[in-house]
Amino acid sequence: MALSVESAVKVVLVVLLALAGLGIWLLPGARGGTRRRIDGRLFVTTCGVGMLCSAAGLVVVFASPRHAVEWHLWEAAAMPLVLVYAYWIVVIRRAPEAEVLDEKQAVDMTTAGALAWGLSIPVMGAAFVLQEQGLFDGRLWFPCYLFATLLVYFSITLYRFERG
Amino acid sequence: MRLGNDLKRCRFDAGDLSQEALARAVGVTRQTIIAVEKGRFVPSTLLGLRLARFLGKPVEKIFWIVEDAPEPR
Repeated sequence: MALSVESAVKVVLVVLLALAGLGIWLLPGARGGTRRRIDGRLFVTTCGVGMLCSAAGLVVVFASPRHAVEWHLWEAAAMPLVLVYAYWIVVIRRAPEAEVLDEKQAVDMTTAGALAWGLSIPVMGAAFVLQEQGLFDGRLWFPCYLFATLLVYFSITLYRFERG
Repeated sequence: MRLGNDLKRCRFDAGDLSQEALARAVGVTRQTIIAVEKGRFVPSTLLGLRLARFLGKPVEKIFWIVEDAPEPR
């Protein structure tokens, strides 16, 4: 039973990645696609999806650490965000010479990135201490770091962008 | 020293233009126009010139330097 869940999750993840790759290859040249910028709606959607995926990832990592790794659930939690960023690549490929982000979006992302990086240090320090005491599975350090940092990053980006 | 602006009034002078319409015209998001009008975001030289050109006004009529009040002795 455990093997079939793991296999099913793997198959779904691989299929989604393959579809994303196909989309990145085919969609930029397809007729009908008009979006050539990361407009406000896509930007906010990305932040929202990022926050949800990060929160879900953290819940999975701490609620069921064994399954998070063995059943690839942490990768599954990240997949929606991967698909959204695949769409960003489609948009960027449609107009490679154009400014796809406006300057405020770029500043908001940069500031959020710097703050998220800074905050990730004490978070990973806490994970290190917990691991030393046997309270944290070392295999989870990467998903924990990834989702904690992304949650902070997308939260700050969205807040800064929406407040104007 | 900070940047003052009259962007909101210039936007209304240009035919009651919405923030969204102005944003689309100069190639930014509505949130960027909001941030500039509130004084929370300093636009780049390029964006300032784009705004001035679209609104048909000299850039100095839209943006200016606001000197800080001198410190009391």
